[in-house]
Parts: sequence; C-alpha cells; structure tokens
Amino acid sequence: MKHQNQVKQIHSLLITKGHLLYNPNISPSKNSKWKSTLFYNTLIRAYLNFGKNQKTLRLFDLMLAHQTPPNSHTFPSLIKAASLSCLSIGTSLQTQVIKRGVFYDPFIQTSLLAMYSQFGDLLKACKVFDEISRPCIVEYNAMLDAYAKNGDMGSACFLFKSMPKRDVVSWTSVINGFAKNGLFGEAIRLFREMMLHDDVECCFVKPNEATYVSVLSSCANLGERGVLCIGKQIHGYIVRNDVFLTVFIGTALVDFYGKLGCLSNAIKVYNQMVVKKVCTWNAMISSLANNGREKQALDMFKKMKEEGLCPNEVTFVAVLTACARAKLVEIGLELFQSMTVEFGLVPIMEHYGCVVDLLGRAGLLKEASEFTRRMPFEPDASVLGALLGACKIHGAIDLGNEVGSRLLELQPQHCSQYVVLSSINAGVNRWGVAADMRKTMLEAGIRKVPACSLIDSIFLNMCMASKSYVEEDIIIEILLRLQPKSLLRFQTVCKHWLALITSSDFIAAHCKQQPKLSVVFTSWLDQCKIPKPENSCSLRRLTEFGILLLPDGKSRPDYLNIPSSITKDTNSASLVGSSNGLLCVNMVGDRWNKNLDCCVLWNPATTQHRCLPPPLLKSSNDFREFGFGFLPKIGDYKLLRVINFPDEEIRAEVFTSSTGSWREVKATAELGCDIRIYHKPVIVKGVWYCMAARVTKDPGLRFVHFILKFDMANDSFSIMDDGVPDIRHFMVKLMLYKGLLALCFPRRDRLNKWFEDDDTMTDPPGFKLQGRFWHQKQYYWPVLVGMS
Amino acid sequence: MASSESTTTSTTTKVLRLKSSDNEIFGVEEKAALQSETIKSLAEDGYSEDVIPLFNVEKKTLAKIVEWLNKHASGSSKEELKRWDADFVDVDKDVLYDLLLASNYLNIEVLLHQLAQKVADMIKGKKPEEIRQLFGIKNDFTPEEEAEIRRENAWAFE
Repeated sequence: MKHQNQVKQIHSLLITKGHLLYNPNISPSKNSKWKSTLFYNTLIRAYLNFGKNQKTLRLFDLMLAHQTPPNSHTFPSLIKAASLSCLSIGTSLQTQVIKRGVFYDPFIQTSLLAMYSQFGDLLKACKVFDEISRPCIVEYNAMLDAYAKNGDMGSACFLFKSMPKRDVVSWTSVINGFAKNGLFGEAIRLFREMMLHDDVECCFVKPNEATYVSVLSSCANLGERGVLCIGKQIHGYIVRNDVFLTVFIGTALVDFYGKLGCLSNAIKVYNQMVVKKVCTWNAMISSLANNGREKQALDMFKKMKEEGLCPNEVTFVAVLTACARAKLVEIGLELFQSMTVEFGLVPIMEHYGCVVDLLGRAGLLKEASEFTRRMPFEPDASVLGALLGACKIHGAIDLGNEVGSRLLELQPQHCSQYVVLSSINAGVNRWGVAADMRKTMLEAGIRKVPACSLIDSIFLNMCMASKSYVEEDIIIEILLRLQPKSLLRFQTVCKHWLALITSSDFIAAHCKQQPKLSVVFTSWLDQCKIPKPENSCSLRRLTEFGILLLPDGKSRPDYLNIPSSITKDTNSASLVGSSNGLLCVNMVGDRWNKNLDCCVLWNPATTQHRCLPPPLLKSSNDFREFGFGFLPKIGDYKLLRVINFPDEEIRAEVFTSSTGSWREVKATAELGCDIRIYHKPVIVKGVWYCMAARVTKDPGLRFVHFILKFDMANDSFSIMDDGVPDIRHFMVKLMLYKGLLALCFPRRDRLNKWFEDDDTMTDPPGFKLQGRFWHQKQYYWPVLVGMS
Repeated sequence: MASSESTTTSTTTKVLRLKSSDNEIFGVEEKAALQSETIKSLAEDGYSEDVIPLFNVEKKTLAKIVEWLNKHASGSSKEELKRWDADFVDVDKDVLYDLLLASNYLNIEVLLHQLAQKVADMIKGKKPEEIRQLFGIKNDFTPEEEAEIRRENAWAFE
C-alpha cells in the first residue's frame, strides 16, 4: 500500500459496502467476527504509514463507535500514532489496552515502552518493561533506547550488560546513546569493545549503517588527539569490508574529516559518493567553511542550487558561517534575505546569530545591534553572546554593557557573560563597574571554569587598587606548578585556598599540568570515579587505561592515565574505589586469560603501586562489587569484595592492608539466598552501602528493595532500616554527595535526592529530602559512578 | 636593550607603539609585540596605526616586558634564551608581582608560565604562615579547623 489515493479509494469502497459498520445480524462464526476489525487494523496501519496520525486516531474512535472490537494488532500502530501527538492519548490507549486484556502482547508492550520514552517519561517506560515477564531482545533494545534517549546511560549500561544476548541494534542503541549524551569517548570505547566481541568476530553481529554513523559522529565531536586515527581505521574497515557507502555513512565521513581538518579526505569521500542528499552537501559546505575555504563553500552552495537541490536551514547556517568568517557582509545579508524570499525558509535563532556574528566581526556593531532589535522574536543568549563578543573585540563599552545586562537577565547563571562584560569595563579602566560585576558574579555563586581562565585570561583582569590582591588566575597558575606535598600543606593557608586546591577543576588542571605527579584528592574522586579505558590509537590493541575525571558542572571530562606497568595483561580495568589519594584498580582478564582477577593499589601522586594477592573466592565480572576505604578507627585500609551469584548466598571477603591478606566474612543468616545487589555501592564514613532487592513470591510485588550495609570496621552485614524512604524500582541509586549518603530518585525531568541526615542531635536520624534538583542533561553523572 | 625611547621612527619593519598607564610610549617591533595576545587583538582591531593604550601596566614594568618581548623575538638560541630568562625572572618579589599581573593582562603565555614557575619554586618549601605573609592573606581558619587539616595531611608538614 504505497499510494495514498488508492488507500483512500479502498477506504471509501469499504464505507459504501458497509464493511466498517456494526452488523448485529452477522453470524458469530469464527471467520467473520474479526472481519471488520481486520479492515480497521489495515486502514489504521496504512494511514500511519502516510504519517497521518490524527486520521489514525480518529479511525480508532470510529472503530469503537461502530462496536468493532480492537485486538492486539490494532494497538501497536495506534500507540505509535499517539507517541507522535500527545501523552494523554497514549495514557488512555494504555487504559484501553489493559481493559481489552491485551497488555501482555509483546508488540504492544514494546510500543508503549517506546512511546513513554519518546515523551521522556522514563519511569513509566521502566514500569512497562518490568511488567514484561521474559523480555526478548527487541524489548531489551527498546528499553536500552529509552534509557539512552533520556540520558540515563548508567542504567542503559547496566541493562546492556545483563542482557542474555545482544544484537547489532543493542550495541548501536548504547553507542548512539553515549554519542547523543555527549559521551563521545565512551561511544568510541564501546564500539571498539563491540568490534572485539566474539559475536562480531564470528560474524553473528555486524555493525550497520547506524553504528557507523554514531561512532563516526562521536569521533568528529570528540575532537581529541588520536581520534583522527580511530576514524580513519573505521573508514578503512568500511572500505575493506565492502560496506556500501550509503548517503549517511558518506555524510558522516565528510563531516568527520571536515571537523578534524582533513579537508582533502572529506572532498575525496564526497566525490566517491554516488547518491548525495542535502545533508551531504551541508556537511561538505560546512567542512569547507570551517577549514578556511569560505569561497569554495559559497561556490559549492551555488552548485548545489544549480543541481536543483533545495537548501535547508542547516545549509544556511553553514554558508552564513562562511560569510562571517570571510567578512563577506553583503553576500551574507543577501543570502539571509534569499532564505525567506527564494526558499521559503523561516530563519531561526541560529541564523540570526550567524548574521549578528557576520556584522559584528566586520565591526558593524550599530547594524548588528539594530538587527537584533528588528528580530521577530526576542534574541536568545547565543545571539546576544555573539553581539557581546563583537563588542568585546571592538571595545564598544556602552553597547557592550547594554547587551550584557540583557544577557544576564536571560542567563543569570552563565559565567562567561560576566567575565566578558567585566572585561569590557576593565579594558577601559572602569574598575568600579568591573569590580561590581565581579562581585555580582561571586554572589551569584558563579565560578569561571579554570580551563577558560587559564587560557582566556586576557579579559579576566580585575586589577584591584590594592597590591596585596593577587588575582585568582595567577594564584592558580602558581599553584598548578607545585608538588602535591606543598599543595596539601597550603590547604591551611586560608579557606579560599583550601576550596581552590580541593576543587575538582583545579585538580583536573593539576593532573594535566603534571602528568607524572598527579595529585588526587579523595573528596573529589569519590564523587566522580569513572573508569575509562582510554582510547589508544589502535582499535585492536588496548594498551592504555585512564580514569575519567568528570567534575560536576563541566561538560568536558579530563583523564588520568593509568600507567601500563599496572595494567599489563588486561583489557578490562576498572576503578573500584579511592581513599586518601590512593586508588584501587581492579583488573580482569580477557578471554585468553580468564583467570586474571587482581586488584592493585595505586598512588598516582607518588606513582607507586602494590599488587594485592589473588582473592580467595572465584567470581565473574558481573556478579561482584567492591568497596575500598581507609578506616581511621583502626588506622588501616580495607578492600571489601562481595560476590553475589544469582540464587546463591551473598559471600564476601576482606583484604586488610596491615596483614596483607584476604579473609572470608560470613554473611548473616537473615540475608538468605534470594538477594540480588545492583548498581554501584558507595562508602560513607567507613560503611559500605549497596542497593539490593529481594525476590518475593507475591506476584503483585516482585521485589522488595532495600539498602544493604557492611560495616568495614567490624566486618558485618546488616540491612539499613532507619528512615529509608520507600524504594519501589530499580532506578533508585545510591551516591555520595558532600560526604553524605544520598539516594537518587529519578523523576521525569529531575532527580529527587534524599540525604541521610548527619545532625542526629536535633532530628531523628534518617533521610531528609533535599530540594535540589538536576536537569536531565547532568543526570548521568552520578549514575556513571563506577561503571565499567 | 630596554628600548624606552618614545619612537616614531619608521623602519622597514612595522613598529607598534604601546602606551603605559603613566603615559610613557614604547616602540616595539610588530613581530615582538604580537607575542602578547592582548596586543595582538588590539592591533587587529585597528589600533595598530595609533598608540595602543595599556592601562594596567606601569612604565617600569612595561619596560621589562618590552625587554622580554624583544629578546624572545630576536632569534637567540634556546640555551641562550634559557639562561637569559633565568636572569630575567631573578628579581625581587614586588617586581615579580608586577610582572605577573602585567603578563597575565597582556596574555603572554610563555612569560606568565615562566613567572608562575619562578614563584612556585620560591614558595614550594615554605610554611603556610610564610605564604600568608607573602601574599597578604588573612588566616580565616579557627585553630581547631587548621589543626584538623594539618592532622589529615601530617606527612606534608614533616
């Protein structure tokens, strides 16, 4: 059914013949009972395929009105239509589904899952998934996609690992999820893992177009050294394996080479491509524009028009950027005009931003500011930011101040505006205003990210009258050059220095500055310990591992490389804990060296390490958790290793640093063998906590969730019961926040966090709800804690 | 070497004129001056024909900076530069402060790093009390708080 008109004809025929009406006279024989349902189902599917969501849903109304019973084949299409319109329709459809008794149909469940994830309601999607008694790979994939779409990569990985079987869609969903959430390095790492996986080597699974596109765009966006090499290898693999250069793979390659400055390669790929679409041209034009070939970019644009292709919004962003770079004001403005006049496109914020940038760069500040005033909608931060930047370059103080204050209203939390604004004032000796601005900034709790302030320090020059005031930037520059020992000592200079030295930004910068003598502070690593097998240049050989340092509030993580002398023979190293600057790294063997399972204590500050003896209990990677910490009470380091095979009792062993040996610890009898621990544990004040669930026989309540405790000081398990809020699903996670145990409850667009209250004097002990939420974007950081 | 003549001489190479906060004008060859990112961006914005005003730098500091810029544009060998730089940063702490502030303002990264390294070398063996005195910082810890931090990192104080 490819032609809409034909479908319409058939539809009218069905109406005129009365097939769609309720017919009480019809004999209730088996065949005819479902006849009209069948017609409706087919029509619903057909209209959905033409993208007529409303029509699809209206047909369902008609269907019910004519007393035609819908069946399990009716709903998947309807739910898909609902997922393109609005949530309330989706919810009522689910009610219908339950009412009609077809909820356990796998197709319907998958559609519902996809729908909820589309609307960003991860919780409901999870609920649907939990209801599925034996999920098949398609349902798993849908859930993976749901997590990925909603930024919960930690859960996606957890699910991915626990899947009995994985196909190319599973791999691609997670890779794409990482890429979509800005974790490009992780995407590349997983792709490499995929290529080394048995399934791929035995050709059961083969990367498909979507996989290539995801990983190539990750390479393009990561923009780090070594990425070019990886991308080229992928390209090589594509060529060697005769993968057809589809429009999207080709476009991804052009984009990749363009972004990494290999223009000649981009052009080569572009010329090889048989079929080109608008997106291909777009990628090529922006590659040219970004590599200093503005003229060629514009020529390309002309050629594109000559070939009869219709440029879209993205094309115009690329050509306008080209004009801005080349300061081709007139051409740029003409193009901007032609957008609406010639191509009927409605310019969006990005285009206005480009034009403002175009005018601003050329020094036409008045025109640029006039232009923002004439915009049909209020300029957003990106447009004003471009204008402010231009003011900064051209030293236009008054205009800069005006734009800046508008900008601050829009984005009071954004630091760079304050800095640019204060710098404009500083640049012309208006110290008073500049200092005020700096104060406002401090009061609003805004901190400049050191990466910027170190490099872009021209404008953060707030030369105060007093000589004794040395700028923070300079202080940072000096402190960065000190050894960890001096830094530890200088923590006592003043509170400001203490905060500075222990801040995650500073530590990250320090690790970069002094790679051999990295200073690592526990307080920070506890919050963001994320092991990351670092990309080496080769896809085949894994040689380097590192720890991904992801300080809060920063989009770009930093890395701390683990020396290869520690990680010799493994291709799976993970960080299991840290304490007082000591890191505990666990290594497991690959399929050639299955017996390797050892832990290493490593002090990056002194570059020393110590291998621990092999553990007593055998386990595989998936069924154990660790806990590592220093116990001031006994003045000793301990490493806990908990083994939790399904349907077996929890077993544990403890390594004590002073004795240098492992000792098995008996779990209390009350724990039984029906417990499954999940998510990563955390250690707070010498006590190890982990999420756990007990399987019940009650069909309405399949799991009872609770928090399992292990007191590292006296080696005993217990269940935490005081004031723990009700936990009903697997998405609740434990984390450490400012030295306190915290629980994360994901909600649709934020996390609710509960804290175990410290202040036992005034309140009964227990968790307190803290009214601080994260946005979805930042939502994955605590989730990634300890992911391997 | 410290070329503090108020120059307008037109040689074959272009000369930029830098004005200190106390209105002294220094002529610097463009090649040398552009090592400062701040001067570079100001020059690109059309200041190159006029005097480039540097409001944050006094004349005695600017003279030192100009000396550094010229030396580093003169094409001396690496070893010589290294030796020269060591001498250059070997000044008393007030001058060092001024140079730090100026190099930060002028965004001369290499110089800033040299100076920061110098200060770091200077303070690395010092006690926190000495640091406070040096930087004019007030101790805002209570004795208990300070003792606590000291205890945690006792080895660093040995």
